[in-house]
Amino acid sequence: MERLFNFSLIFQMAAEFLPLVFLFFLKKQINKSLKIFLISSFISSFLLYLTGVFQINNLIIFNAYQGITICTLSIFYFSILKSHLFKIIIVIIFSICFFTLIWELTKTSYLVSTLVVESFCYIIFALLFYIDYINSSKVNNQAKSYILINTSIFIYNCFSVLNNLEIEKLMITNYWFIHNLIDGLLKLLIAIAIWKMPKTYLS
Amino acid sequence: MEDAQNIPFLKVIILVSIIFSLLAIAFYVLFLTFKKRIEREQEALRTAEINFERQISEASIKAEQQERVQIAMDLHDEIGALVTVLKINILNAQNRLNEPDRLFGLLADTSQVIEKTADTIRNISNRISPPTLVKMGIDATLDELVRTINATGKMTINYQSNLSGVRFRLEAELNIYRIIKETINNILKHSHSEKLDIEIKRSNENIKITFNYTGLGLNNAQVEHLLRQEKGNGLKSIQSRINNLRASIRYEVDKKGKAEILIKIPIDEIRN
Repeated sequence: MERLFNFSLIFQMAAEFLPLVFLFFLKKQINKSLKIFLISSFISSFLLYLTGVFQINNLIIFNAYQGITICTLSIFYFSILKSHLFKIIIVIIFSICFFTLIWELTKTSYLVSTLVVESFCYIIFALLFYIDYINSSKVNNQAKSYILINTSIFIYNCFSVLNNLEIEKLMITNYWFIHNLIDGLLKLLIAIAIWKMPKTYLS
Repeated sequence: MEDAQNIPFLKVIILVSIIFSLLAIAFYVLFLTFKKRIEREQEALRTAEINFERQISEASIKAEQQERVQIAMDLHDEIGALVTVLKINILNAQNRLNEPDRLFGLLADTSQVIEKTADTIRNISNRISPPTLVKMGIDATLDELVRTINATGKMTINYQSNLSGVRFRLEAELNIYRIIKETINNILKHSHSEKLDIEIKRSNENIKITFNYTGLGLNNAQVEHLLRQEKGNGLKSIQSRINNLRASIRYEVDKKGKAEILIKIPIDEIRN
């Protein structure tokens, strides 16, 4: 079981690195906030792994990663959705999410409610994107890649919304390898989406 | 770590989470199916739209070709015949130089033939492009057209406009003239109406042309249906010219048989 757990961790790290490789080496055109999200996701996973190995308190890294994720994904969805109503919904949801984060940080420093609220928010964001995509008449290649990224976010958050309730207990079990495998697989999906994206146009 | 692994609650959470993610995957598959269906429908709609545009364009070309064929036939049958008569008259006149009475009769006949030839040339020229349109503009040309139709007694047309003295691009004026002429033609042929009101109003944004009559009329849906059929070349020709001017046309008819055709042409498209 422990070997499986270690394998899942390495697989997750490698899968998180792959989108960045495609992004920078293949010079793909991608939303800036999504780029920041992917970079921060890889760096935080790497740092969490390192601090875990050396048994250093990594709470601040985890909390910072959550803050960055809330901001970058909200900006990402805000910029790619076409419907004004959906944009307003995103601003409202982001405000709720950010408020929960600040409230929990000042109160306990341990994020539990924030993680659950966050997962719900991302599920709503993803659903809004699907509806927006169906309603929009013009679709470009970039939007087709964003569907895959959106699906990755959607599936991951559907999986993690319940996990987040007991994240502290779950993280110390070997069953956490399921999370790592799913997260890794979904990061591979993001890598495929980036692979399919058009290249950056050089002027 | 082993203690924690044995907590059944955590196992349930993981299991439910996996079920949730499977449901998410199922949702995504459903979305993909729905997306493909919508894309297929959009593609079918686009193809139908392209075919419709092509039909209209083909009808317009066909109408122009028919017009050319008609002009060629008129030139051949009418002008050709008249010129032959003139040639025969001149040959006869050459042979009758010593018979002044008969020569005088021949010359009078020739003069009539020349007059008829001039009339025929004028008519053909009018069909290609009315000279009044080039010299005086759309308002005067329409006034002339209405007077000609009223003189036939087939229909009484009441024409009103505030275009007096205003000129637009010649090509646009010709298009407007042909739209109005074809519309009058359609009303004459199909409406069984004896009276027609035509009003042209110019504003800063557009020109509104309204046709009002009581009789057999069409509504938008019926016109749309006719446009998608093989028939209705006149309507297709009108639609093609309307598209050229980036204008709009609306057909309405009420239960009492009061019909209205409203054309709106953006002024920017026709400005000189």
